[in-house]
Amino acid sequence: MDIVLGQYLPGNSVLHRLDPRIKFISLFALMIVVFSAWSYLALLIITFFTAVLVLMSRIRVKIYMKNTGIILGMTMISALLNLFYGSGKPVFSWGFISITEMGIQNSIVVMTRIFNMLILSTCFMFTTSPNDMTYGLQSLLKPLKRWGVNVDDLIIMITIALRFIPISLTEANKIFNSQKSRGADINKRGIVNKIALFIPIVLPLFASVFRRAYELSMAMECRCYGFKEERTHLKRLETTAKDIFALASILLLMIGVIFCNKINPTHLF
Amino acid sequence: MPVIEAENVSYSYNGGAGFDIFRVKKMNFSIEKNQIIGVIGHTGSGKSTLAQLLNGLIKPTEGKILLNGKNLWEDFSNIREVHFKVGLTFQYPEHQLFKDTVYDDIAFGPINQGLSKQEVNTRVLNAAEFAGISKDILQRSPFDLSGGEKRRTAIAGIIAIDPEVLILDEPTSGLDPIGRREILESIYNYHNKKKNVIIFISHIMEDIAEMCDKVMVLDKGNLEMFDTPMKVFSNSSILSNLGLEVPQITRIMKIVHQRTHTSDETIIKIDDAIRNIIKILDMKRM
Repeated sequence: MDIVLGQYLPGNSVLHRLDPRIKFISLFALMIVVFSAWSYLALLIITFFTAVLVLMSRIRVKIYMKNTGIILGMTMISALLNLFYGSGKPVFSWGFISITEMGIQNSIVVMTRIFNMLILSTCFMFTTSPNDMTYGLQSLLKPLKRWGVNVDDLIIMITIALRFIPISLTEANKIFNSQKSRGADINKRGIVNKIALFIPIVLPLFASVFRRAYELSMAMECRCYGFKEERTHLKRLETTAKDIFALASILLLMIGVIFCNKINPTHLF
Repeated sequence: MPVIEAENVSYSYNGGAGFDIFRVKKMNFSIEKNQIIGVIGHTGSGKSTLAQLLNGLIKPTEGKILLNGKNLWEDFSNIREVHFKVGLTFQYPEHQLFKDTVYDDIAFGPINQGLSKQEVNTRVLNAAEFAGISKDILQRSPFDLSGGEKRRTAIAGIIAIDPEVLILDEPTSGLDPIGRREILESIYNYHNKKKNVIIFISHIMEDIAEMCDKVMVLDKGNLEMFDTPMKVFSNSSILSNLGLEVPQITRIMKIVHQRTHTSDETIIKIDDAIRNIIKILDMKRM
């Protein structure tokens, strides 16, 4: 059984190699940019920027579409509904339905925003491994230590939890099969029977998860986990020229969007 | 008539991008009754997949498996009956224990078979005896037992189903030498009483050599050899190409025979080796 953790697609593109901390900050900044853009020109520039990032990730557009298709479809529907909720001069009316200029604007703006946001975050997910994500998060959350938040322990908990998911799934599958070959009837109908079937699978699974957790905690203690305050990593996060370039380009995009909002405002809200 | 036959059995799954990944490739074999069959092979050779195919947990993508001349998958809805006829214990079977007492856990299978309380009771007691579980631990919680006892409880849970074919996937892995020997002895005694087919997957060549009537050698989903242990272990070069070894005693006896210029037969059992060495020593003395 192959289980994909998160949506990470291994690769070696520039986006894959960016410092995860920079990627986190960039994603956050991009979200702000996307939601503060209200001129058509600004939205066009953002969409262009998104397209460039998608190309840079070296992941086929088809895969992006497959992963965002359903949510994108729902966005389209909600955007379409936006059409009918504008006030002002109607452009088109038929019975009680009327579409105003503002409705159309609203609809286009909302749609482009959500589209961009979705593609950008998917791009982030595709190019950042769960490990990079947690390490990046750990590094970014470090300032919280000052207020007594134990960031390192928090991060190690997340990492272990992520690691336990595929292991537990394999284990559950094995237990399911072995109870099935002892004749546990999986086709029985009715809630009581279904619950009765649950016990032979969930109980051993819990036992096994606890056993693993216990063994892991022993192994961690044997390696002196918690003995020293500052923990180091096998992979050091490094900010290089390309990361600074990424931040600079996003800053440029921000300025561009603010500028466009000024010179080409659409009359929204 | 053979008990289990495989005709051109393949099992593959879609590995993405239009590739099929084969776990078992076009296997043909037939197993006669009252035999212990050993299955050896490197990790990923398809041993466990084969076990699940024979037990009806997964369906062959090609070919068919016949149990007493009848196709396992002939009647789709009846596959549960196949699980009862071909019992299977997985690796580390003690991880499947879940009942409050050892007795109840062994009884899980027979109760699923829909037997009466009386029959369940006899089945459980018989199975416990075969698996070497003493009466006083039947009422204890399976979670409190030692590793070997847990293992035996799990195996008893399959024996209690009274299968015609019993498949054991590495029944001795992770046990100490005594636990290992006890399990092997119970399996052997069980086989001698029941005269049923036992398919025994193991990494330990010595166990295979001592126990089995015939040995299957698997490699990357292919059935490379299916013969008596004597013949299989005389092909040490083929085995080492597949990442497998011959039993230690076979290697030792080969050297002994070469040095003393005596016979060149393959010795796979300790008892035979002892007899052979005594014979050689007697010859030298004369």
